[in-house]
Amino acid sequence: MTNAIETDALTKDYGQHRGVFGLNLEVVQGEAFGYIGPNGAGKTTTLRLLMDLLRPDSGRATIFGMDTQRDGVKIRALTGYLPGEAPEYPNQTGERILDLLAHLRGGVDPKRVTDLATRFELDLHRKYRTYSHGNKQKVWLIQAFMHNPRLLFLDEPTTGLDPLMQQVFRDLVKEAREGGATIFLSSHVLPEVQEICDRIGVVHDGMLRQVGTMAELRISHIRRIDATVEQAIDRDRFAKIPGVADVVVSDHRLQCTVTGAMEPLLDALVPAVVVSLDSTEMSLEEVFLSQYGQTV
Amino acid sequence: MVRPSNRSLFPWAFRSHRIGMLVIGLGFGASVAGLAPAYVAAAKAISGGLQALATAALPFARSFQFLTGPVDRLDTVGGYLSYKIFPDIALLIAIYAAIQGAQVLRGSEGKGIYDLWFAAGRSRNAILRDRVAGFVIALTGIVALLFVFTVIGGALSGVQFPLQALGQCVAVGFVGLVSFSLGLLVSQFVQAARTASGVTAGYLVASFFVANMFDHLGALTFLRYLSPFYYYLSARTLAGTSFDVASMVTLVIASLVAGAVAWWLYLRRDIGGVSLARVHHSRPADFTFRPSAIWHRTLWLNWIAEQPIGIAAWVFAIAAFTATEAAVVPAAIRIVNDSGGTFEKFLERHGGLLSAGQYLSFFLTFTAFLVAGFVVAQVARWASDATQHRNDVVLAQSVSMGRLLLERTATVLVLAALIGLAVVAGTFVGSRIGGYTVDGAGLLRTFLDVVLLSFAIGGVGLLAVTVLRSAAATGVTGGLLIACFLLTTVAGLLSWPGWASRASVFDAFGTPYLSVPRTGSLIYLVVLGAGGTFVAYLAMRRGMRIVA
Repeated sequence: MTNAIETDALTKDYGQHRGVFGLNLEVVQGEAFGYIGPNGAGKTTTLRLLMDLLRPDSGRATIFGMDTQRDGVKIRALTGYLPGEAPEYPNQTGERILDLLAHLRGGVDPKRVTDLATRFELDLHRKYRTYSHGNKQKVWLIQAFMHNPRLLFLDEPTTGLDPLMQQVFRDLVKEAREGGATIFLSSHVLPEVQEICDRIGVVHDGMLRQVGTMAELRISHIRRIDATVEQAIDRDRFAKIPGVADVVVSDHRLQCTVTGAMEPLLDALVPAVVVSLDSTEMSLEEVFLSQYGQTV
Repeated sequence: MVRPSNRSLFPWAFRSHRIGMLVIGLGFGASVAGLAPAYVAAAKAISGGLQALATAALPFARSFQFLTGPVDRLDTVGGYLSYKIFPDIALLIAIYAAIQGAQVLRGSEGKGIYDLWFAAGRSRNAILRDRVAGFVIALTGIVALLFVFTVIGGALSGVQFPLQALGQCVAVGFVGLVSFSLGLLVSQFVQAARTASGVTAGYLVASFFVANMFDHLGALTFLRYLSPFYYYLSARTLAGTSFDVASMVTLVIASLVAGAVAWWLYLRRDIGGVSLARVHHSRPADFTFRPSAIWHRTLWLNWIAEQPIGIAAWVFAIAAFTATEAAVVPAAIRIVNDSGGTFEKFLERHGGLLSAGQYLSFFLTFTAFLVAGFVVAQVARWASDATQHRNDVVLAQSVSMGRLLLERTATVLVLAALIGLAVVAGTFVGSRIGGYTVDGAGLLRTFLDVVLLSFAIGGVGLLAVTVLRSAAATGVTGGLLIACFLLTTVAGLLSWPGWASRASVFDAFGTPYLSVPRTGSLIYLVVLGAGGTFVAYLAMRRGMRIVA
């Protein structure tokens, strides 16, 4: 089967170690590929190179076997692109923006746009400048999905979306995959990547450091715990609980991280009488920094 | 306890004006310093020197009163500068100040910057005070640079007029101040800084003509009191008039009143909202997508449809300006005839300029500057399309780079045709007002000339946007046009050989109405337009960021 995306030593150098360097990547058709890394790692540059919005200094990339530079227009006809930075169209309504983009692309079913707007609950007849951050993001999500593309480039797709709308987005991705689409997703949100992606590529300082499945990369849920208890607690006791790490105890307050099951930690906390407990999922970057250190 | 910082935002506010201050101060200053010795050199080339040149040129200069205001003392360098370049400087600094006034609150509000400043503990008053102070210091810098260069220009031409230069430069500064306040005031009523800039600039341009021509306005003569330039004209100290303190005080008071009203409104409206906002009635959300508006089917139509008010304003302004030019042709000829033949003889020696058609053609060369301004405004839009990432989503819809560039060119040509029609309509209406007839072939030649000029500047602008990738492209394109203007002016003044000014697009524009541009100029304009577009395409293909 032809790879959906293939890059060969793709390089774009902005100087001062910024850009993408010697990127070799393969994404097979129908796959959902997560592309993760810290801010400034080169994620957006990679997406823009693949979309032929940037031209590489060296190396090449193909999409569905077509050269991104020579066949850029044909490739973009088959792809949907959600930009990392939302464009500004202050004086146009959502409908007018989508109308222009749909006409430029051609072959977009108006019913599909209406369906997407309904699912995202986006009032298309308001001026773009009056939209909230999340509603602006919905406009660009709709334009990425409106033509049922074979390949989706999604750069931080759930930025600004509330949990309900994030679920709508995940449903759309699921439907696209069921229809055979390939997904290339740049994201910071671990549950999103875990739920959507088959494989993950970790990029850092413009270079692809690791590629594999979540299991292969030993990525697991890590939660950050912040608990306040009535009785005094022993730091060493908590540090010995399996999966618990980075334990800090100060004045009836416990902070730590938990990998895997929460039950052993909760069992240890209950006798101390829990006053409050806050549990947050660590971001992918934090997970990688935690698991691999700064060398990622 | 953490206390809010008392650090002033003033340094930040000033920094945002410093480039503009340097470009305007140095640009206009250098123009003044260059023109002064050039005038003296031109006078030395004819027998009788400055006096003879002034006698010969006075009727001609007065025929341009609608552009320059009163003309006095052309036998002095100060009088010449006051007529030749200071009216343009006053108008352009006024427009610059109006744009800054419109931007100073509205521009940053639109970007959400003030939300952060408020969150950081700054008050509305503090923000406005610091931003206004930043501009006032920048304006003072512009006036200071203009003053220094004017004195240098005087010294280079062998005259000393520091006090007169100071008086006139200060008057220019006061016009800038009142224009800034007007921009600030208008921006309280509209959402977009660009709209506020356009409205204020339109008012200033109209009031500029009113101040210059009020004695021809009949019952509307009183309108002169609403023009900042009317008061400025009372302080043309370089031309020997006294520094009218009352007029200057009037400008300062007008500025304070407009500024105070703007401040009062600003304290009472929503951040990001407008004063006198329309009451909205909630309606159910509408998710239905109804495509098919024809102007969204192509990029060029959409780009035009995006700016109906802006285009209408430009078309109206250019038509009105051209109509004024055409309408005053008979009056200008009368002034020449009243000169007792001296000027006629002068003109005959330089090829003659005596028929209404010839006069009209000469006046229409000034329209070229407005056409250039219009194209530069389009270049600014292209730069903004790039910096605000609109090009990314357009290209993502399987649009090729070549198509993007071609559609830009199509936009320029279509808009140029619209502007050309405005010029033709203005000329026709003006000739009717003036009581003479114009011929269709001449109007067609004028139309083609305007389209060619727009195409040429558009090509250069497209290349600038592609290479520079930022709003700097607008400045570079504008700077090149100012250089062209200076080249044409100085070359004409110093009787340089014809080839010396051929690089200027205004020289290539030639004599609209009378003739199409020379073959060489024709080729030059086409090469600039097509060549600029082609090189921009090559630059894109070589891997630059997609910004055009």
